[in-house]
Amino acid sequence: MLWISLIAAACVVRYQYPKLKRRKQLKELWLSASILVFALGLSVAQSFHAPIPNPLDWITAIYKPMSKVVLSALS
Amino acid sequence: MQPMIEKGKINRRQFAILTMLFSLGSTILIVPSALTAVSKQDGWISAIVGVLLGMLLIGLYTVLGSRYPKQSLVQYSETILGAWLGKIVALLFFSFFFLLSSLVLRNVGDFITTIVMPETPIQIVHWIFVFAVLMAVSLGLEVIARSSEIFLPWVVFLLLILIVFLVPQIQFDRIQPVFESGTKAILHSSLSIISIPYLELTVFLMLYPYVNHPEKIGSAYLKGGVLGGLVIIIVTMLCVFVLGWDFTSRHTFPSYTLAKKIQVGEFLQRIEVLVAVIWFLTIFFKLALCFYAAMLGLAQLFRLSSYRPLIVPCGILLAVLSIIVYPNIVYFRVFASEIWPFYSLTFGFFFPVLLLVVSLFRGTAK
Repeated sequence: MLWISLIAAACVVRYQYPKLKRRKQLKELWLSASILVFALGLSVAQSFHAPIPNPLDWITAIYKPMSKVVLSALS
Repeated sequence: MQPMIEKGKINRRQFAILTMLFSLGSTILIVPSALTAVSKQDGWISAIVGVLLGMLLIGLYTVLGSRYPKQSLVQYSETILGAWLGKIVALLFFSFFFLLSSLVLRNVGDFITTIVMPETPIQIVHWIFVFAVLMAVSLGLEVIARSSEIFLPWVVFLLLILIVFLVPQIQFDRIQPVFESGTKAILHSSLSIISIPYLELTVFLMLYPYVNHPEKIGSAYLKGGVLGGLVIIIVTMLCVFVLGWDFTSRHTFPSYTLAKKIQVGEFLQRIEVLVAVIWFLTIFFKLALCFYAAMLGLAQLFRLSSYRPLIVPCGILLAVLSIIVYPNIVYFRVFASEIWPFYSLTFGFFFPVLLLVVSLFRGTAK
């Protein structure tokens, strides 16, 4: 569903960013633009079925030992 | 003093309504199955234990929030822990809120694609929901709060229909023998209800400074939490009474199956979509509040003057992340029952306690 992301991004760049530039809100503009580029990159990677790391795998790796100890104590 | 990004104000009643809808969203469909998975027919006792422990958590949040009535969670973690450590904790809180939004969005997608519209691609479902949420968040907190007042009567009405029409189907022998599973299993099952709505209620610490008379929030917070918990307890009891525990624990969305059982005479049946409506309404508010808290937190973290420029880029990120997070429904069930309680414990219990203790030692309140 890359096209939805692209349309949404195009709308932001066309309608929101000129306003931010005019009001000299450059910090907002930079942060927003960098998140946008990152999000579009991920969208493209996803639409080409590139492997994207899953943050839940990292969380699982961190909490698995604690979870095992507690849950075995409760069973 | 940091700039006020959100200029709207909500009152305590709206805060209570939002708390209630938040604690119902996604819980009402998912949690009954997790509650009965370990403690079997005693799942309803686990629900009661979980709600009672949840009340204690709300007490903790109230104590922490009332120490800094003019600041949000992200702002006072910087005040309490200092610039660097505070920023790291605030960033972690942002990641928690954002990840929670993507998981909640995925719940919507999974529900619709497995039960209502199996042929529709899940991304389309997500995007439609994301657009509604982006609109709500860009309109601000006041609009979300007022729309919750409009939708509350509908949610209550549909819940009453569900409960009243299921009463004839109740079979009391389904909960016997009571206490068969034992204390450990009951506590184990109650982890699910503690983690799915109650530890996530930290989101409301972001809204504290925008409520009128923030020093008196406690009762509204508690009222919303209790009402939401009561509904979950009743729905879990009905699941056990009507479906039986084995059926409940095998289904991913047992309260939807529950509504299929409604049959009054020969003419009133197949009204299970009512549950879906309850769920869409409540989960919309849950998702909107999580996403709102994430955006507000990010803007406060970087000291921006508005969070609105971030909404659409983060919306795209949310839609992508919600597809990545769960490769399949088994992953979701294992994650929700084994990892999520501990992950949300870090943010819903450990960090608030840490902030409270450090703040008591430093005495920097107000």
